[in-house]
Amino acid sequence: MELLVSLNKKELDDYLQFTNSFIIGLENYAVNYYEASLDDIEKMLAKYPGISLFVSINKNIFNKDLKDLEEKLISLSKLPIKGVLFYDLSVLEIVSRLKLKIDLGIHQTHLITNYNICEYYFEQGVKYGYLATEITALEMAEIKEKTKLKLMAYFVGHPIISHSKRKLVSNYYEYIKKKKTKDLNIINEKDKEQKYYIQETKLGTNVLTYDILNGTKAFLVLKDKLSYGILDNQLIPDDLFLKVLKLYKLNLDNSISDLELTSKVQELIGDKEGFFFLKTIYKVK
Amino acid sequence: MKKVELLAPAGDLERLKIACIYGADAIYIGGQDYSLRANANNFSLEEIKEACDFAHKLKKRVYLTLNIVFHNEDIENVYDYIKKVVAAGIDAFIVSDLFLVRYIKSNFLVEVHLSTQDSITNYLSVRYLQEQKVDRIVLAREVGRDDIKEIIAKTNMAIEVFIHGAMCTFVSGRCVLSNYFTNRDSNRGGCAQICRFCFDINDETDSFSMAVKDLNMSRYIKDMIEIGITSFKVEGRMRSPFYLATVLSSYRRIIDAYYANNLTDDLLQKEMKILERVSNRENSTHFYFQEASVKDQYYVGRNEVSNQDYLGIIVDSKDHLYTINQRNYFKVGDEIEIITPNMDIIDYKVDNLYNAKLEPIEVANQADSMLKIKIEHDLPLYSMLRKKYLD
Repeated sequence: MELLVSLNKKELDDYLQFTNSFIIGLENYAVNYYEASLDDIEKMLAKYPGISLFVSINKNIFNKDLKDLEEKLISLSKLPIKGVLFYDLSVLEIVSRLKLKIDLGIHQTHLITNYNICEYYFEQGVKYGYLATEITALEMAEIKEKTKLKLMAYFVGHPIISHSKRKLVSNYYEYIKKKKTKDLNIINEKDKEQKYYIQETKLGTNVLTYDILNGTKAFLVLKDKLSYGILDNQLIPDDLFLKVLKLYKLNLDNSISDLELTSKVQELIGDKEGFFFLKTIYKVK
Repeated sequence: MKKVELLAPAGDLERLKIACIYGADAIYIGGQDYSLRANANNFSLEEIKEACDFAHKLKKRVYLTLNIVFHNEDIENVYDYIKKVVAAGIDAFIVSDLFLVRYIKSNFLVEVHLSTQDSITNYLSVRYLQEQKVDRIVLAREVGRDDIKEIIAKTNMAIEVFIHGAMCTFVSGRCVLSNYFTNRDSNRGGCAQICRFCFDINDETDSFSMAVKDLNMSRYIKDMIEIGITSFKVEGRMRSPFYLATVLSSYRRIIDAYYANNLTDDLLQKEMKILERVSNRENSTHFYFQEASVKDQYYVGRNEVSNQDYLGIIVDSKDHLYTINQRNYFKVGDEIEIITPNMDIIDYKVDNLYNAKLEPIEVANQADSMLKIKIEHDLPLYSMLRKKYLD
């Protein structure tokens, strides 16, 4: 497994001793990613030759975006990026129709949950699959057994849990006739004492976990199976993030034990394990 | 011009029959697995066959939802299930996972419709799906009028859109709030509607809600027909039979009036009044004409009004003596309306009422009891009595 950092800036110097693989969002096309323009991406690739850079195009695409999207994909196909992670099927249509030389990764946030959908996309020419954060580590391992997609899973960060095209917080403040002072806010459901981040962007509103996901135990189960383990630097202070990234790297290099990794990461970011070891239910008795 | 389809939800066999006789052209239902309304009653295999037989006799179609986002454990039995429900007579599947499109189209002569879970929003995605042999696409709720029109013009794909009922706050398929708050998997039918909860925001105020108003497109049906939409979908597999009958018959009258060239403003106003009344929430057109805005949300928690308009349904008749299964309180002297599967709305003043033993009574106050009433009109079975909606 390679460590794949979802970036919060364009400068990579801090990370390069730990990993060579990164994800960045394409400006105006990415939900819940730090964004870069084509020009920025070109400069990053020039400044840091040899990096593996995935570009996320994971918003829902509307008709008015299509012409520009096609131009952007043509430009990206001429850059030495590792691949494009996509949500909307128009990306697949354009890349297939124009026979662009881009390795694609299917990145439908909550929808890549089984081995058959992975195989479907593999047969459509897709190379990578970004697994949903709502399936268990065992399910991920089974998917790996039954698909030829190169798989990536999200282990550390504040995962997105919902995305709306609506400006939910701005609308609220407009309704109560108060000025919205910031884009990142915290909501709390009183009965359950559950906090979440709610973040407005130009593409709408995202809800993210407030606690940092600690997928370290799942990482240990899956590190010999999956191609990429994603650590997301967004909303996490750089010094804290780098400590975690370093520990993961040391474990992959067999420089620290699994036990040491687990305990040290837990000290740093807590023990919220998401759904790696928790099956969701859907029929309520 | 092919007439637009009015597509109704049904959570069980009773609702399916009501939908069929109150104007739906097609009905979508869920089986006991693989459907996004896991906690509706849903249909057993035997009930699916009965539903198809009933609907087909009335020249209606039945679509089965298989639109959960599959986990590995859901896969093994689905193929056998598909064979069985095709044999039961299903006309189409509504699916979300694309591997099912390929399987069904390779093995069966049955339509496949792509669920709104896939949030299709542009014509190139539609073209891709045409190549995969998808027969119809339920567009994302975020797609506006001009985009719908352009998608149809550029692809000629059969397009289905929602016209009435509850809306998701978040993009379909892009919300797992329910998973995190309650461990109920929203993309496998367990959605706990967290968006309708109340929250503190930044510890400043405790009234923040993400809930949105319902959708109601009744005023714009003419425009929606003329831009080429194939199917108008009503939301609500868990709604009551009365709600279904009222909503479907209103849309039926609007659609039929359009094709008969007599869709007047008076008729539209009347139907809009009915639809406003039967709904228990405020409504809006959301993304159809513009980006959704401040007017499309709720801000003070659940704004739902309990509706006690449904008085009873006619379940038997003999010589104008009708047996009614009573639902809400009414009494002799009340002025009410009777709606019928013929799409009629009949004004009626209650001037007699009997209990099951044919003893005269003055009030109907025991929900679910069987009452008798003499009415001079010829009323078909499944006609419904309701409080007066129209002046």
